[in-house]
Amino acid sequence: MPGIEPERAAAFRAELLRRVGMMGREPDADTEARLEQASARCFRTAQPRHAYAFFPLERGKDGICLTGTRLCLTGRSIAAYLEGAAQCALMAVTLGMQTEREQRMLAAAGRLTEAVLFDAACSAYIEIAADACQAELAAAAARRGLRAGGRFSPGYGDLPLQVQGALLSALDAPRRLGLTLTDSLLMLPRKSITAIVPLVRQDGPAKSEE
Amino acid sequence: MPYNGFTLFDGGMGTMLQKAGMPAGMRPEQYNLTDPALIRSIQAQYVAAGADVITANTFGATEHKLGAQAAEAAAAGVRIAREAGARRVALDLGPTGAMLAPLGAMPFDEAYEQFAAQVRAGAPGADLVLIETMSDLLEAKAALLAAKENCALPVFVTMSFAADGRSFLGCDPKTAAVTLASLGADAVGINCSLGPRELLPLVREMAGCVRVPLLVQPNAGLPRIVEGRTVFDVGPEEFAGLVGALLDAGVTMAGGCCGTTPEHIRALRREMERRTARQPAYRPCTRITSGQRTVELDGTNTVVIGERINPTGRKKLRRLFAEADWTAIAGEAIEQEEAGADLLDVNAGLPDLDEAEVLPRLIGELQAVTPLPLQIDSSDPAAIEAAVRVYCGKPLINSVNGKRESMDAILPIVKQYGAAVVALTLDENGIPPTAEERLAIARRIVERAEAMGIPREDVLVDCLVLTASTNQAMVLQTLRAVSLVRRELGCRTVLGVSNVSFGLPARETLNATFLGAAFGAGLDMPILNPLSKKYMEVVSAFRVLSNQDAGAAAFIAAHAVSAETPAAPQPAGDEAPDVRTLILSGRRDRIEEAVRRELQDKEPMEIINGQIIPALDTVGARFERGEVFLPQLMASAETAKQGFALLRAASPADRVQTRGRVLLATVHGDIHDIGKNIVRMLLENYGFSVLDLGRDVPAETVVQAVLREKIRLVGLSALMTTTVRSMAETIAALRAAGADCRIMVGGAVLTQEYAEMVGADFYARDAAESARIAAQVFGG
Repeated sequence: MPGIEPERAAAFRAELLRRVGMMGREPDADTEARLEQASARCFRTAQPRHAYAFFPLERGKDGICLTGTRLCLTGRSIAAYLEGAAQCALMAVTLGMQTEREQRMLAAAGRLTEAVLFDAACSAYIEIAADACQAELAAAAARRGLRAGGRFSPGYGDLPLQVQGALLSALDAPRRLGLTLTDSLLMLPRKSITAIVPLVRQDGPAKSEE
Repeated sequence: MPYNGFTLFDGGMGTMLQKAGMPAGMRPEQYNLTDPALIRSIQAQYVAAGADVITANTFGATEHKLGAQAAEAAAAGVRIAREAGARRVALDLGPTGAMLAPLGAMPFDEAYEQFAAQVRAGAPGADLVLIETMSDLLEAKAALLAAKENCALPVFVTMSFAADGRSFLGCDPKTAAVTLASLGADAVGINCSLGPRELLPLVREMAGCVRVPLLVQPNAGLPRIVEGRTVFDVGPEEFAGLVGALLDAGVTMAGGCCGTTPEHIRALRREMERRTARQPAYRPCTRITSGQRTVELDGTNTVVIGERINPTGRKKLRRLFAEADWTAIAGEAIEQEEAGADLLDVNAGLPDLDEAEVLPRLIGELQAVTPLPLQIDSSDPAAIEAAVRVYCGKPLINSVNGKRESMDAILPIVKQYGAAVVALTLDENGIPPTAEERLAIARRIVERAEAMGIPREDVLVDCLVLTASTNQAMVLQTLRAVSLVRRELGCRTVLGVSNVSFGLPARETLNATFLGAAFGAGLDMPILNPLSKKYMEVVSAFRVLSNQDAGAAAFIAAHAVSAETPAAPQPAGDEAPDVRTLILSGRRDRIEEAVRRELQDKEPMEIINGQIIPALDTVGARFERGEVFLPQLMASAETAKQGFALLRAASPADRVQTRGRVLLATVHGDIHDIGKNIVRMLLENYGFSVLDLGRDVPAETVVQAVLREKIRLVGLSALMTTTVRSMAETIAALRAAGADCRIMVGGAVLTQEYAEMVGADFYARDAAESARIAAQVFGG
């Protein structure tokens, strides 16, 4: 059955409950059944895919630029976040367009409760998929003697959303993942996450996970 | 032909440039202007390796990606390939990089224009156009139409598929091949994403479904991320050997994509030299597609066309069309899909509607929610053309007939857009009485179509059902005509079944009986109401009796389910839960019986005020106190909504009054609408009526609707910081137009301060607040 690795099931459930405003609560039987149905629908329709790559950093007056790309990161928050990092990883994760279609189908069929819970399940799932990508990336980094930090996404702090286009291009995400951007900087499929992950030398200063 | 009838394409450009030091995320086409020698030297290596066709470095030379330099880069790309010594130069067209509407934001016409500009700039000097790496069949169609309508070169189209055998947008190889070949592609196939090993099953799906050659350009294996870098690791000899298997499966044109080098192409050339090209035999069969599936009719299977998206004789649909409530109309599609329809008829024929404007819009909305192929049904050729142009897939057009005028108008559209068409057996003299005369008309239409290059299998014949109450003696002539058409012309047949019972009682019985008889006469595609259990039972029974449902598996499964489903619980007096209890517990499935019971001795308004509203208030209060949560709140609201719908349907229009009309829209550039949908449901539950303009709504559309409908309260939603600007613009446009309305705003990123900044009258922090605001504005 498609779905989630057993070791991430608890994290998924916690995230799903948080998304429906029930953090730390035990759902009643009806609610439990609805959440299960929404999760199953999400696992059935989602096609999680990810890509990541490592880049050396160059600090200049345009901000922090990723060598070999046209991506430069501006603002104080990302500068602080990448302090001490010699490299960073870019990552992109998406659940694919079928979840988008399913969402539309539920809305058109007037099944709004299912639509809302499905949306919550997908939001939880994309977080879990991003965690999995991050773990894979961290393992690859470790093999190169680098320690990966937590993820930082465009739009956090004062890092402008406008970097999203160059970030996706650097990963060739439209071609490899089918992940695109609208003029209003909305990612399609919407259930997608992009992030920047600092990579510090194993003996360098540690950055805590977000 | 070099290489025993095979055509050898070149290999990767992007990965070669990356090896030469191109930064990730840089547009390779910029080198056409800054470093043409680099491009030329790579292409010269491919020429030396033996490639017949060199792909010009114009993949992303669109305005969307390159801005003002696009045309110059496209023309230069073609010139450089020629200078590299190419025997044939392919102008290369890749995806725009934006998702097309309705799933995305880029309108079809804008995508078309991007490609058309590229073709106009690059086609002079090229020998063919290559459209590649497409994952959206609709975008591939836009590019193909742009190429065919702006130059006279052959056009080859390949799409890209993921490991699950489908494109990112859910298109399978057969659907891609059938649709693109029907649209006039001169070769179709697969490139990128996968290696040659993974492509073999996908090539087999395409083989035999099209008359044109198959082209493949695989990657050098599956891309792998090693230490944070993408690598392709299938070497030249292994690559060529694997592509050899594709050649044996019927591929006659091949090259390479990401990770392939001149050495890969040289090795592939040796594989071609030791074989002879052999294109797989075409299997004629009627194929109709959407963006996600192909429906095939080979004369041994039954395909059901759902007839319900047609405002003729359906009051509810007329209202939905008038309100442009596309979402609710799309709901009709889902209902029919779930009831077992294989194809959906779509008709927007209303006297006060501009069909040429409405049909394309509706087609997009339907295709966003259902994978079923559509039958585009109109008597207006302009509307048909507008709809089939933006349709994703190979549609069925309903209809052409034997009148010269009809054939002159419709068949060119069928040909141009690679559609299938229903041919009605009537002409200038009306519907002929005998089967033989109807056959003669059908023959005339088929011959005319074939003369225009429309294959016979794309013409489906409707022998026309007459009404038993007025033409009783002719009912069986129709069935005789069906048999004759099948036997004499080999065409598939269509019948609109329900007409037969018009004006008689027990119509379902007559229709179902006629349906069974028509199947016996050889009917392939009934057009019917799939929500009728009786008709679908006849269909599933016939599928057993005609050996379509192997081992009667589907039939048995369907009947096992209905046997297991417990009978509807019999309400035993006081024990049956009342409306209020059902809303509190969110039991939508049981609300209907409870409402019907109450209606026996109560007025609708009494039920609304006495049970529904108090129940909603209770749930709302419990939610505020943290005793129930979003899932329960939603389930209760949905149950109440269902109750309202039943009460409205059960009472004369004026008995359930509306407290006021609210317009809702998600602003331009934003396509989030769950929040807006929740607000709509809640407002309706509290007795307000809602005009829902949907998502991504331009400011002027909001202004026009507010003025036209004299709306007093507008609700705008925006979910992103980048679209709050659209919200401000919409509000400014409403004020500038002097609209006499109040405006409430909501959405994840909004706050009271933001709401004031954009000029709104109210900030609705949640759906409940929007209902309170509405009550305040409309009083009470």
